[in-house]
Amino acid sequence: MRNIHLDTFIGLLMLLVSAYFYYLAQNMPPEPAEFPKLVISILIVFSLVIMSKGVLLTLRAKKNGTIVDHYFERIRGPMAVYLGLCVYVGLIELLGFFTSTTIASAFFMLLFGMRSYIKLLLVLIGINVFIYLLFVWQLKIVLPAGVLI
Amino acid sequence: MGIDFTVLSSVIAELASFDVILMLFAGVIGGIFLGSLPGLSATMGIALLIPITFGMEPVAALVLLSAIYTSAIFGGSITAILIHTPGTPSSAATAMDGYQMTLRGEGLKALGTSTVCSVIGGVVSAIALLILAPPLAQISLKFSAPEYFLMAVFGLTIIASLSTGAMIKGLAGGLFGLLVGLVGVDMMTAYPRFTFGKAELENGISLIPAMIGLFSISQVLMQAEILHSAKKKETVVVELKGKVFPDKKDWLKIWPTVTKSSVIGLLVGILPGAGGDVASWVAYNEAKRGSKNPENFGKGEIEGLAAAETANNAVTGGAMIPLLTLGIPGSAATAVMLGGLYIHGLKPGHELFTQNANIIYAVIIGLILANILMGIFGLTMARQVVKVASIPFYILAPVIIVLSVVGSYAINNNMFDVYVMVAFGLIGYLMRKTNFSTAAVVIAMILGSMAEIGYRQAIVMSKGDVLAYYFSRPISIILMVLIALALLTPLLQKWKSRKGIKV
Repeated sequence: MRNIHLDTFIGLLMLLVSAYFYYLAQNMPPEPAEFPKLVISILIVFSLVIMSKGVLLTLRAKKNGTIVDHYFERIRGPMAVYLGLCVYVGLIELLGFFTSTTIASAFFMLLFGMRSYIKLLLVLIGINVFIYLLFVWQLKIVLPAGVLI
Repeated sequence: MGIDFTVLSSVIAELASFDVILMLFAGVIGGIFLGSLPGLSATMGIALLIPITFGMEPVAALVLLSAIYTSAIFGGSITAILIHTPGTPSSAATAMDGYQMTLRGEGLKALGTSTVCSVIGGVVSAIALLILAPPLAQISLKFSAPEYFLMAVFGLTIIASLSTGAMIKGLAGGLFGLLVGLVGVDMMTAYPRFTFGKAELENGISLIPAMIGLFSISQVLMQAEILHSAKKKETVVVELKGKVFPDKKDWLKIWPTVTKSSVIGLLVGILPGAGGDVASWVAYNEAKRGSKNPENFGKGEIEGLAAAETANNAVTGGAMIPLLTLGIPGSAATAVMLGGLYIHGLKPGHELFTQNANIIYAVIIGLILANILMGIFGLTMARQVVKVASIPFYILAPVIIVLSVVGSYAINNNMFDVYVMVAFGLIGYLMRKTNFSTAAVVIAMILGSMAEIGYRQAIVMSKGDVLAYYFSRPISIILMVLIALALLTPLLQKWKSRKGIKV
């Protein structure tokens, strides 16, 4: 797997998604389906081109005995942040916006390397006060409230 | 149609309001600081701020966004000159000679030159916008369904052709954006397309949350990647001394470069998809090519600095010309700004310069004022800007994430938009990692409905003979030629470079 060029997988993924959407468009009445079918058909052609390019690059690397390019060498950090973001968004309706924002902000600061707890506390207060003043007080946005606030 | 002088008094009244003045100052100062922060761009700043402008008057909101746009480009140059860290991609060429001048003890002169050149570039392009946009907007009156369809296709193909080394991926990104734009109820038949039975999807995927995800969250994820691998870099600020402004001899030397770079920046800005980074490098190379001392470029040559700085700010007004006249964004930042126009009920084209003339002229004059203010603040705040540039990412990351979440929520007061933002954050990150253009997705989402309506109406209007109909319309023929050129030029250049033919 590691020796297969990433474009092969991207092309394949694009092809599968496009095929699924084309299938959905097939079940639509002709008029609203016309433009989507045109767009998806061109996307299918490009998916095939990207996939073929990936295969060619893989074969070339194999022939030359080189390692193919890998774009995802350092994915652990971004994925931890993304997971944190998903949990944060999930907690908003459960705990309330300000509580979950406080927990999530502290988590992200620690994850990104914050080591001073006084600074952490000050930033947390700053973020919450700023959001309250701008969005709740000034723009009159009713932010989601859960079990807490 | 030229500039409408009858609206002048209402334009002055709009600009003199407290809210607009406040937003002008906030936009300039905020933009300079934002641009100086490595990893944060004007596009991201505008995407994050659009939800905040929702409750504002249109002039105040758009003046804020355009002031941020132009000032962020300049802000990136301050850190490029003083600490060799370009705050935005547009300032990469500036760092080449600007930092060398600083090391030579001419840091203040480099800052002064950069500031004056940025102001000149910005003001020239804003004046060009003021003069060229009203007559160009009239062209939109000559457009019918086939031209709108071809205009959207041209916008997408030229973006793809500028996706360096990955034209197919650029086009595929555009098609993905079109597909995303198709989600929702069909405007002509009211049939729900790709909604999966979800009522939230019937109005389509909200543009602003998608943009926040594509530009802001993806940037945080990109930064998370280099966080643990990059060695901590100590910021060393060289002592600033000497004169702030270049002397007469320097001015005489850089004046032709400044003039030429203003034109280059303006023209590159007008091209959809090409931003300040492309303009600054093109102008830098042109200045080097035309210089008597090309060997000094990269070693602290004032001409190189002047070229890059003039061009990257001259892009701002240029990029707004196709945006305001035809609804085709000239850069990623203006694509995001188009979202700002829409949420304030403004539609690009002839109507914008007639029915909403007081708003749009106020915004354009606001852009000129923002450029002038940028010069004043730039020189006085340079040292503070460098300090802000050293704010660690562990403070910026939660701020960006929280603003992305609350901003997406605030657009329609619903959590579904937040989920859209989260999903597009991951899509944006994966796209950037695999060399797809996120700007192409946004521009296609914007142009999608224009393309589809134009396509379907043109078929009806052609009465069965589509090709003959398109070829019977002169503007359509011009647009088709432009599309062919946009698609073929990169292929031709690639072929020539393979054959070793000098272009």
